[in-house]
Amino acid sequence: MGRTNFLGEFEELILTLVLILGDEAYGNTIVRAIKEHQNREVNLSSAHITLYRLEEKGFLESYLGGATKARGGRKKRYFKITNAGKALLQEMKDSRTNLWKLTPQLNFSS
Amino acid sequence: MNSNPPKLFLRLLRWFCHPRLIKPIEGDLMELYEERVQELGKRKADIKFMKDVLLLFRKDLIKPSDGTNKINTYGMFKNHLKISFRNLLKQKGYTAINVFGLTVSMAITMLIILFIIDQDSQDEHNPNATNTYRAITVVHDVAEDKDRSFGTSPYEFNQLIPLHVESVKESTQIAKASGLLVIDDDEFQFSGLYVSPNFLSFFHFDLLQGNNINALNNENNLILSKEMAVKIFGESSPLGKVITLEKLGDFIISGVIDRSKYKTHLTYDAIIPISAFSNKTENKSLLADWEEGSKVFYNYFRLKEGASVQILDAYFSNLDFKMSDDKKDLFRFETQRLDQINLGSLIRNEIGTTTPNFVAYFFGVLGLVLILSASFNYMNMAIARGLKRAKEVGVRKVLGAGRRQVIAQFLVEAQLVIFISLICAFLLLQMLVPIFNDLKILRDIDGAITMNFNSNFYVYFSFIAFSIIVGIVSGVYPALYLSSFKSLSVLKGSNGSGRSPSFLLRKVLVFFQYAFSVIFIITTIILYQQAKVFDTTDYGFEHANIINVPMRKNIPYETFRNELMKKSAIAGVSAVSNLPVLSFFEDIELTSRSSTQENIKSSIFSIDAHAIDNLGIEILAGNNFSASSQNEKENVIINEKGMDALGFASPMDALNATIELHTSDKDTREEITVKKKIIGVVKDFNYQFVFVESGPLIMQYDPESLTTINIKVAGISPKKGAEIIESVWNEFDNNHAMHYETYAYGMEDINSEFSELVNIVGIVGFIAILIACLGQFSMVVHHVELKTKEIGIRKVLGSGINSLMIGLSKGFIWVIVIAVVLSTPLAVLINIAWTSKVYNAPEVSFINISVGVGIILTMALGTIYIFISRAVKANPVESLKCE
Repeated sequence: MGRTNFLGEFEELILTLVLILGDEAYGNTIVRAIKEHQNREVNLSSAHITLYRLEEKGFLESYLGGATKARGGRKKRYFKITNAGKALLQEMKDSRTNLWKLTPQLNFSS
Repeated sequence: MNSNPPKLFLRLLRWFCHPRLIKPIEGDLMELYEERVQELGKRKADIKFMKDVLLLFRKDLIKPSDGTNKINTYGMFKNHLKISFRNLLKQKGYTAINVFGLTVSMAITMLIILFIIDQDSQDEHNPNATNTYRAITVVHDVAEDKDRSFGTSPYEFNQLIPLHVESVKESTQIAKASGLLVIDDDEFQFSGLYVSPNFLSFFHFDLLQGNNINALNNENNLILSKEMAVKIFGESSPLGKVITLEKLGDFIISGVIDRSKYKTHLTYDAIIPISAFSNKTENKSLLADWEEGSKVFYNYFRLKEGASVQILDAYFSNLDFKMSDDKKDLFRFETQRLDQINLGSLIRNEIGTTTPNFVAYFFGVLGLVLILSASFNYMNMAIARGLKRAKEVGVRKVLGAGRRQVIAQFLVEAQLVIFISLICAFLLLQMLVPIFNDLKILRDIDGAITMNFNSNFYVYFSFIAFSIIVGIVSGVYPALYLSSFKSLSVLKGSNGSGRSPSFLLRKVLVFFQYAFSVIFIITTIILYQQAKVFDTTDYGFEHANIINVPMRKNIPYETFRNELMKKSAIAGVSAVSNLPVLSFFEDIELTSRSSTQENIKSSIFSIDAHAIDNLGIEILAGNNFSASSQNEKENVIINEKGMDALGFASPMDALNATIELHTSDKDTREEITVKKKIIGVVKDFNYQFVFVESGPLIMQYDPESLTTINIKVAGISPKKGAEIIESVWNEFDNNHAMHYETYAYGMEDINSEFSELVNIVGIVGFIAILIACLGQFSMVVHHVELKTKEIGIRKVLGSGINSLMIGLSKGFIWVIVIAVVLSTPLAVLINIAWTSKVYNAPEVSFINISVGVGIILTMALGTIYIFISRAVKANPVESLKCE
C-alpha cells in the first residue's frame, strides 16, 4: 500500500473541495464547485469514483442523509474530511512550498 | 417535475452498479437530471443522463462478480449439502438402491469411456497426425452391390503422388511381411513390415537402440521390436547381429523399437526396408499392377502446412487408372486421415487389427442404456419421495427461498448421490480394468487399457464431466417438479397425492427400463444357446486325447514317427499342414473336367497317409493315401460337399475323376493349373469353427508342406503323453524344447472367446434387469406407503383382498405389459439381424422369446406381488392408526 500516502492531482482537488464545502460535500456539489472554481467540466462518475477511492484510503468518511424530492427520495452520501486527510493536505502543501523555495528565483533586481 | 429519465438506462445502472453505492449515485444523477431538465430541456437532459450512466460503468463502481455474492452462495451451498446428507441418511434404503445402480452402471460406462479414449488416441503421438493421410481403395462388389474399402493402394502411388500433387510434402510406403527369422538353427515366426527408409521419421518413432536416422538406410537392415529382440537374444544387445530371413537372405539388425511406447495402428515384430521386396525380380510385375498392387501396399502422405486434403481427393478422382476398362469403373481411391484409421469405418486388409467405429457405437449404446436406466431410477425415486418433502419445500419458500434456491437444493442432492457413486464406481473400475484386459477378445486389437494418474489426466477430467452430466440429467426434472409446489397449498396439508402430473413421466421411465431389460434378456438367451452349440457340436473328427506338436526341420518326421509308434501309450501319429478348426484354411478354385460349370471355391490342406485314420475321418469310397506309393502327389481326397459341388452324384461316381486346381505359384504369384485325380471321398467333417460353414474340401498328399504332428495317446493323461513324446523328442534334438498343445485345449480356447462375449452381454443384461427391478421395487413400496390409509379404509368397508390387489397393481402391470409388448418385436429384429449372419446360429424361436419375456414378467410381477400383498394383508387397524 505504498500509494496510500500519495494523491493524484484530481484526488487532491476533490479532497480540498470537500474541506471547503464542509457539511455540503456530496457528488453534485463537488462537481458544481469544480466547475465554479476551476472552470472545468467534470463528469459525475469521476467525482464519485475519486470520492470512494479517497474514502477507502481513509482520507474521507461518509454518511447518508438529506433525501430531497428532487432526488426521488434517495439519500445523499455526504463526505467529510478525516484528520488524516487534513494532515495529508497540509503535508502536501508544505512539501510543495518547500520545493518552490528551491526553484531558481527570478531576480529582477540584477 | 413529472419528467423521468430514460428507464432503460436507469435499469442498466441498477443492474451493474455496486449495491452499496447505488442509492447515493442514483440520487445524485436524479438531482442533476432535474436541474438539467429545467435548464436545457428534457431531450438534452436525457442524453446527458445516458452519457452519465454509461460513464459510470467503471471498475470501482461495478457490482463485483465475486466478493459479497460468493460468501452468500457458499453459505447456501453448505446448507444444501448438509440437508442433502441428512436426507440421504434418513432414507438409507433408497440411497443404497440409487448408489448401487449408479455405481455399477457408471463403472461400466467409465470402462467403456476408457476403452474408447484409449482406442481413439492411436497415432496421436505423431504431431502431423491430422495432416497425414492414407490412400485407400474402394472396390465395388457387383455381386452384392456394395462398396468395400481396403487400406491398401497401388505401389506406384508412392512415386506418382508426390510428383503430381504439389501439396504433398512427404510420403511413405509399407507392405506386410511374414515368415521365419532364422539364427543359429533357431527359428522364429514373425509378422513384420516392409517400409520406406523414412518410416521412423514419418511416423515419429524413436528407436530404443540404434540410430533413428540411418537404421533403414541399407537394404539389408532390420529393426526388431523389443519383444522379439528379447525372445531371440534375451538380455544381450542384438545390434549388429546377423539374422536370416527365409527366402530373403541375411539381414543386419540395426535397431530395436519399443512398440509399447506408441499407440499406433501398425503392428509388427520386425521392420525391413521395402527395397528388399521391390528389388526382387519376381515382384516386379506386382509393382506395376494396379489391381493386384492395391491389395498389397499401404501409402501414406503428409501434406504441407495448411494444405487441404481436397487437392489429393481431387487428384484421385481425376486419375487415369492403369487397369483394364471393365475394372476401372469398379475401383475408386480415397483418403483417410491417420488419426482416424482406428475407430473409423470398417476397412479390409488392415495392417494391424483396428477397432471399427461400430464396435465403439455398440459399447457406447450399451453404456448409455445402463446409465440411463440408473438415471431413470434416481428420477423416479426422487419424484416419488419428493412428495414427502413437499412441506420442506413449503417452509423453505415461506422463509424466503426463491424457486431457484429450491432447485439448487435438489440439484445438489442429485449431484451428491452421483458423486458418492462416482467414487464407488472408481474403486470398482480399479477391479474391472484387470479383468477387462484379460479378455481374449481384446487380445488381437492391442486393447489393453492402462490406469495411471499421471498420464490420464484427460480421462479423469472426462469422468468428472461425465458424472456432472449424469447428475444434471437425473436431477433436473425432479428439481423442477419439486420446486414448483405452491407453499400455501402444501402447508395447508394438501400435498399433491399419488396422482401427480409427474405420474405419466414416471410410467414412461419404468417403461423404458423394462423395454431395455426385455431386449437384453432375449439377446442373452439366444447368445447363450449359441454358446451351447459349441459344446454340443460334433465336429465329425476325433480331437480328444490328441496332442499337437509343431514340426522342426531338423527332426525327420518319418523316423520320429517310427520312434513314437514304438511306445505302447501312443495310439497313432499323423501330420497335417493345417489343423482343422484351429488354423485358417487356404482357399482354392477348382473345376471338374466332366462338367462345364463355373469354378467352385474349396478349402485345401495337406495330410500324410495316417491323418485320416488318426483323426477318425470316415472314408465313404475309394482309398486313403499310401505312404509307399510313388505318385500320391497327383491324387486328392475330397469331402462330400466337394463331391456335390463338383457335380458328382455319388462317391463312387467321383472316384478316379480328374479335377483341375487353379492356384498361384507361391514364389512368382503366377496363375497355374494343376490336374489331380480323386482317389477317395470322405464324410463331411467341420474343419472350420462352428461360426463358419465348412464347405468343399480338398486333401492333398504333400509331405513338404506338413507343419504339425498329431499324436494320439491312449490310456494315459495328455500330460503324461506329452512327457513320453518329449523324451523321444530329446533323443532327436536336445537343444530345442518341444512345444505342444492338446487339441482339446485349443478348441476350448477358441470357444472361450465367444463365451466371453456371452458373459459380457449376460452380465450387462443382468445388471439392467436388476436396476429395473430395484426401481420397480422402490416405486411399489412408495406407492403402497402413500395408500396405507386408503387400503385400511377399503378393508374396513368390506373390500376383498383380490380386488384391492388388482386395484393397487393395475397401474404398474399395464406399464410392464406395454413395455414387453412393444420391445419384444424389437428384440426379435435385433436378434434375427445377427443370427442371420452366423452359420449354425440358434433360431430366434417362440420358446426363446417366451422364456425371456417370462423371466421379466415373473421378476417384475413378483416384486409387485410381494410388496402389495404384504400391505393388503396387513391388519387394517394398524394401517388406520398410522400417521
